[in-house]
Amino acid sequence: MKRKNNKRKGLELSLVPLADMLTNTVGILLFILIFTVLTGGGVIVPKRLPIERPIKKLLPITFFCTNGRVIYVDSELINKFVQPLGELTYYTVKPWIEKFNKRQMESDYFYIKGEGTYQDFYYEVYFNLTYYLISKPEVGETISQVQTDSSFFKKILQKYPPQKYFVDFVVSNTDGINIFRNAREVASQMKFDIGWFPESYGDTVVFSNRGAPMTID
Amino acid sequence: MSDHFDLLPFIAILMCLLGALLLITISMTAFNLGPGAGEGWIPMKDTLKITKTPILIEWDGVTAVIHKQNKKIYAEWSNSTLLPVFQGDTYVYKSDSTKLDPMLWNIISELERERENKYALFAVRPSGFKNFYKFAGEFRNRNIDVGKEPMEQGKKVRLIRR
Repeated sequence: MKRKNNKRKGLELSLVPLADMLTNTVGILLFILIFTVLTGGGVIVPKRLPIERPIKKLLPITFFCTNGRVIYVDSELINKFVQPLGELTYYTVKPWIEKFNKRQMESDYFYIKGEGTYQDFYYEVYFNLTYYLISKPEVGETISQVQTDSSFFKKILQKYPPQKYFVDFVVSNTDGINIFRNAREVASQMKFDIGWFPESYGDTVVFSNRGAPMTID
Repeated sequence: MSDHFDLLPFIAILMCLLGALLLITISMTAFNLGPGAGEGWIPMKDTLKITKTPILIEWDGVTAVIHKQNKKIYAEWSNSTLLPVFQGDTYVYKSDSTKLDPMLWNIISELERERENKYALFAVRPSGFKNFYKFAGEFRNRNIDVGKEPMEQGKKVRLIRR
């Protein structure tokens, strides 16, 4: 008799909690859907909008952003490259350019080669020197490495006073943007002025004596 | 007979509805936060106190997308129209106004007229890195201030006025 009563109780099922639970879930999902649709325009980023200014007397600390990594470009590399070639004068320009074009060098992060041309106008010589710094694979620091307190990027910047130097980023067209933004944020927090220049040679930085003037943004 | 109520169809329909909503929600979220995500830039106050109004121009190497009054204006540009012009004490490269896309010339002439109040803000795509310096020269060499920011290929960008 007892067992029979229990069975009958089981059949008296109320749908209210079930319907309540389901409508709540549907409501929440609809809310999320509306929210995502409304934010369909994407992420809103408050930022100081860049405007170019002259570098004045600031000196550059150059970094190359490519393939998700930021690589330090030592300003002494160019000097080291041309130093063994001797003095460049009107009389030595031809052999000097020949030696320049043959020279190849290697640093911790780059393979370096040069390409030079010249034009002789009686008593004046116009020359064009281009340096190709080809980054070695897997060198430099990734986003997560840059943000650590012990990062090489921060250590380099700590050597220089922000009153006399600015950080000059060369940003590659192959996965250089994201790392640039992160490294720029770090440099900005360290009170440095920032400049950047787009580079379209993938893993190679190109410097030229007739290149674009540097600016800070 | 009245005691017997089959919940199965009711639950099945609700579960289908839930599944469909969940799929739509996840898809929308993935799209908006993933590859389809865009960026809206809000000017932030800073120590430079720049008062000029930026005109956003997207540059992909071929087409300039000019954002003006919530509209997008498309203009073509190539470096084939550039000519050396003696300016100051040096040669600079810029195109003759008749050789430029009229839409581009409109914005250049407007910025030239209002150079004290406005400047060109470029969102530069990786495909536009190669000739950006020459393209921006059309503005720089007319004494128009410029600013630049790299932007991923295909990522939407817009300027949000305060």
